[in-house]
Amino acid sequence: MEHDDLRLQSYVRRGRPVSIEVDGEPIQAFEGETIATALLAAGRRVLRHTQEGTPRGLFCGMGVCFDCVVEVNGETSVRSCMTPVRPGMSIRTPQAFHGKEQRP
Amino acid sequence: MTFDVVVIGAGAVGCSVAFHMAEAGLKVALVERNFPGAGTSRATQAGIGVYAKKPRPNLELNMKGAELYPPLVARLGQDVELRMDGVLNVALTDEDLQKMRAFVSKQHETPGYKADMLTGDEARAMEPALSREVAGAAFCPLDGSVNSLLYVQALARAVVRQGGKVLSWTEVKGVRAAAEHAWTVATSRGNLEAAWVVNCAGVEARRIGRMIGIDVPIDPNRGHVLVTEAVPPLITRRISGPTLIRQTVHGSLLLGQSEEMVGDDRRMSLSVLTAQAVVARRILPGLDQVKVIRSFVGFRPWPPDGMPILGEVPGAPGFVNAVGHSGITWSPAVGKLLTELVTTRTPSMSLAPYSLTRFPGWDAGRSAKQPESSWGIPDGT
Amino acid sequence: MSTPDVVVVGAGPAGIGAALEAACAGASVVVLDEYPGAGGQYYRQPTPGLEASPNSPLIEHAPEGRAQIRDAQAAGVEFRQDVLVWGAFSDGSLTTLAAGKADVLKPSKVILATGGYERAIAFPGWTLPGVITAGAAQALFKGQGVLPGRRILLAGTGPLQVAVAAQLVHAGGRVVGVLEANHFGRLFRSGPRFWGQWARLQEGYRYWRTLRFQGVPLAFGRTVLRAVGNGALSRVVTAALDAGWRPVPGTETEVEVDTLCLGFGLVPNTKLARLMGCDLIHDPCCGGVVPVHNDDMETSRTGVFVAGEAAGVAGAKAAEYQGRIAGIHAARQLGKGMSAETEGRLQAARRHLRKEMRFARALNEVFAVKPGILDLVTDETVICRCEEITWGRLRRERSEWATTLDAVRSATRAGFGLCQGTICEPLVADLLARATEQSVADLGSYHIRPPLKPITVGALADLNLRLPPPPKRMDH
Repeated sequence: MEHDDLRLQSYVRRGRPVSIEVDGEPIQAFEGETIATALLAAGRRVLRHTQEGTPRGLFCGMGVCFDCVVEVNGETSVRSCMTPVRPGMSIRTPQAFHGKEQRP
Repeated sequence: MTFDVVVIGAGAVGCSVAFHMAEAGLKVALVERNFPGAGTSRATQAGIGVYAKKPRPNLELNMKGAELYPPLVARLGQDVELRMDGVLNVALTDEDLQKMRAFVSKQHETPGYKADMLTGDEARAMEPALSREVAGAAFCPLDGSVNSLLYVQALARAVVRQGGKVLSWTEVKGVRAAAEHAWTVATSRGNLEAAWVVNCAGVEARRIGRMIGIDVPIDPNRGHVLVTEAVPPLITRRISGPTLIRQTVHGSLLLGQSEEMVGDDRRMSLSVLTAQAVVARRILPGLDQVKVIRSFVGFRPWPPDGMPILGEVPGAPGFVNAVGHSGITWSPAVGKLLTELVTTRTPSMSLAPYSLTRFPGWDAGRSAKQPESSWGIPDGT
Repeated sequence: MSTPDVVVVGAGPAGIGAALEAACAGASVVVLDEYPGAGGQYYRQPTPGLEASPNSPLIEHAPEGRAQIRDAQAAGVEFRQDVLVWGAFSDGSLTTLAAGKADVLKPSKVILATGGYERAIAFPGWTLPGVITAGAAQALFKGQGVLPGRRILLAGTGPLQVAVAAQLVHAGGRVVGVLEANHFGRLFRSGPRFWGQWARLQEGYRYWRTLRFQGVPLAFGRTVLRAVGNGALSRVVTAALDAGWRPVPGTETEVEVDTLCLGFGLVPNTKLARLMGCDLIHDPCCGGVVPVHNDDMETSRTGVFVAGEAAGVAGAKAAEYQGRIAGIHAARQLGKGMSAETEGRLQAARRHLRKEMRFARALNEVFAVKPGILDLVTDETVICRCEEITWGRLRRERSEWATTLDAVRSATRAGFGLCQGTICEPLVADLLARATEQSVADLGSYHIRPPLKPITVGALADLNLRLPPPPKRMDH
């Protein structure tokens, strides 16, 4: 489901549409957008869950807080606010490893 | 202020010594120039290492330490992430594997030692993330790991609970014999008097020793360690051999085992730092895409022959040393043994093999005239 | 790869100014910047692929920035984007990461223009998705052409909030209110301090007028008390503040929003300077801990300069002039830039900087964050976001010996997560100072270690294989 109303419509022209996949679902984005923008515009503010299970999303928007990290094409801890979308990108919103479960 | 014992240095060793002594009813002061655990104890992978220890007295002491860890931690009443799940020591070549086999065989001469040789496939059955390059391994069930920061803090808190005093942010300025078996420790917060002084100052042990005219031959041995982000379990027990790797309960991995004798130079070396990544990745190829988020440099208190320096100093009754490498591992044992020494004069394990006197020149600083460091401590204060 | 004379870290106003002057003086200059495009935050350009017409509210300072970047390029500056500087070593090496590959540089001179970032103000619910910084709102808006949310509340202090709110409104966003923590009376009484800043006052008036025209309430002496939501932000409870910024009981109101923008001022980003061993000084008037520097913008380390917000929060204009001063001096240390013309530019930059600093100091003092706002923090409030350490936990661990930032960090793991203390350090410092009745300056700071931001084991390993072998040491 798309929420185009967050994208500014007047006085801007967007680049080519780019298709990405997030947790198995296809999402439409545009060239030059960051992963965070694409998800925000698609109505997804929750980008991950922490080790305590709390939801997190964008915070600083400039790459210093690492709250917005997602997994991209298998790479972990990727800042979604700093990473432009690429066609066919596969993104996973991490449900964090609960360290305490490591030992039986 | 008067105490039974003044312990200098609140690292794993000092805190364990202070705790055991306070638990035994002694009046203890633990003096630390920084905060408990601020020295080597927080800049270590904190493995409880038995497997490779030698010679025999060293192995016995470390085995004792590992054995006493669970009951000690139980008395501290706090989770310090203690894991006694052994170590897998890997070999990357057949030649190294042969050497390992011979080494393990010799280690078994010591009663209580245990390590089993595994083929490469058996090692990988135990730890599937190991590289196919691993030719074989030795598994020693006696090893483990602990969160050294939590451990030291738990010990320090327990010292206070047992009635001991922890004097943080307090520097030792001088140590002087006030009388036979009576010491004055001058600190930045005033003088402390005690029948016993225990030197647990780690990399600073030599400087403390000089205060009474002895040479405690401890030099700093610099190690670089990489710390990664938290990831799902990659390994379940410590890996040793060409390097050290362990995964904490939070999921982050500690990588690296470098040794350099560079004095107290804390500066990081880019080539040594990155070299830790090379070796670790070779053993665990799955590390390639794991992100390093921090690194640190730590100093091991390194004696010339690898064995700790423990025990009372001849001619300085009441002055005891407790320093050396792997203090994390033998801290429970040394806490107990030195308490036995102070209370009964008969420790349950002989401290003779660890004596300072094994080093020629240990007392060269002790001449007829007063040593430099014994500046005018006013009498009676 | 040949090594440049001067490496500038950061391509915001300070970095661009520094690079431009150093290059004009004849030095070879490379700018390393972590973002896909130069400009930093202030001169943030619309992302490639997004075209904005001149009437677009997106276009604020972007054209000015673009012109300066072009001038710098024309002078020979090489801008390298998407490059992270993750380490600095005692032999003068800087280590970088670009496209997954690590590299080493050894420039003769380094200019640190690493900017600033938003100060974290903690309160219950501040980690909920939907709670963002004013800077994030601007980055989304200016750089990406997207509104941060559908119903937006801004809370904080200072004129930046009003500017951001007006821009969002102009672009069609629904802003339900702007909360300024200071009382109106106090701001009114401070008016005379801004005498002479006509252009800025005019700009501020225009923004305020936009908000009034759109019916966006601007409330004074008020801020967020807590953020609420199930899985993401849906409501904010606000409260009145007294003169010391302590929340006043009984003044709570609730407002339904999906986005809360926090704007409480900036903190200098000094991590690289600290890693390089630059001496620091605590200056509450410019955002906290900053590298000590002289009038030439040189730090305590010879050949290492600092400029812009990283030297102390003073705004984009001050940043530019500091950059220019640093650039000229870096070049002069290389025997370049000795002409009368360069001297003229240097003196002009100094003159402009003095004026800017007067304004910046006034702004920083009037809109300084007051300690009462720490009362928003409860025992359950997360302080270290990365490791989820609450204030209750920090308070319990604080003991007779855990009285410095370093000790508290060691005791609790606060500051040991992915961001390595960037966000929580100023917050922990303020909370700890208050709880232990010490000054922030006495608390010390977190130890900074490489990498400054995450880098894979593989990239480090591959770098090692390309390094020259270290000199053989005498073994013990």
